[in-house]
Amino acid sequence: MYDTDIAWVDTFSIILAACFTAGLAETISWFLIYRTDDYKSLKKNIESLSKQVEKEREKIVVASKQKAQEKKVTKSESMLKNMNQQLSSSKMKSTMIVALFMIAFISTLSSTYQGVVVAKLPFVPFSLLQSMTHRNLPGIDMTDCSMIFIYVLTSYLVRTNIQKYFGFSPRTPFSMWDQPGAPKY
Amino acid sequence: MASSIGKAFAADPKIEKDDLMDYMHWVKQVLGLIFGIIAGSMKFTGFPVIIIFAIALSAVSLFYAWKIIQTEEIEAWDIVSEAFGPAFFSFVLAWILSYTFL
Repeated sequence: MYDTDIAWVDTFSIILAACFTAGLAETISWFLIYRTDDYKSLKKNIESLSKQVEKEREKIVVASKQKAQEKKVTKSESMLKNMNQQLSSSKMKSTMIVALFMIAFISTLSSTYQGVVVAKLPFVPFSLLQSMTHRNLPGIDMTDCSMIFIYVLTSYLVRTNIQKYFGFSPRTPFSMWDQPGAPKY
Repeated sequence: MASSIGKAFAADPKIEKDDLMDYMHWVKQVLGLIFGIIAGSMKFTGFPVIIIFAIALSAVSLFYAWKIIQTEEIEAWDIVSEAFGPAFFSFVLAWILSYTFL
């Protein structure tokens, strides 16, 4: 225990609130987007096309056919890119509604927890991150953590896991480091 | 549930890439939580802990894929990079909470 001023009730209320809002946001998204047939077919197409692209990339061809093969891969990749754009634009409506709801909720929550330290960081965050970890907090001890950082971490984890568990987002072989459409070596 | 956990720790050299990546997603997050709780309760501080975590997570993931599942066809980079984000976030959260309250 580092600081007797830090009450675990505050921290766990934030975690509960983040779980609740993340669950609600995903329910709204499911209601507006994920359950629609358009979304389901688009998701299926993206999954099969990305598998196809991966297979084409791995295919070994003779030198004379290499150019044609490269062209084929580029074409499939640009199709995949288009489909991904379609997917994000189909999500637009729900994203907007969820964002508005989140802004209202977070501003209420942060005014309730104004100046309240909810955790102690075991590291000093770099300056860009400090605007989040030290938001609305007095003092210059940068290891004091505001509610927003805990909220964002929890909410990201809960949403990612809900999406993974229910299979809402397409399963593509692209990892988080790859730009879709960029050549892979 | 129990059967899928059993499957995730049984050797299966012919495993589909998608299935392995799904297991990776959950296994890495649990590892992130465990490492986070250890680092927090032992009061480790500073950025070197994050670097050590990244190396340890990658090593355990490769051990899991190569020795437990015994896959041969999936590239090491895919195994290391898959679900790194959620695992990292769960590590940071567990680290902060256990450092503050334990």
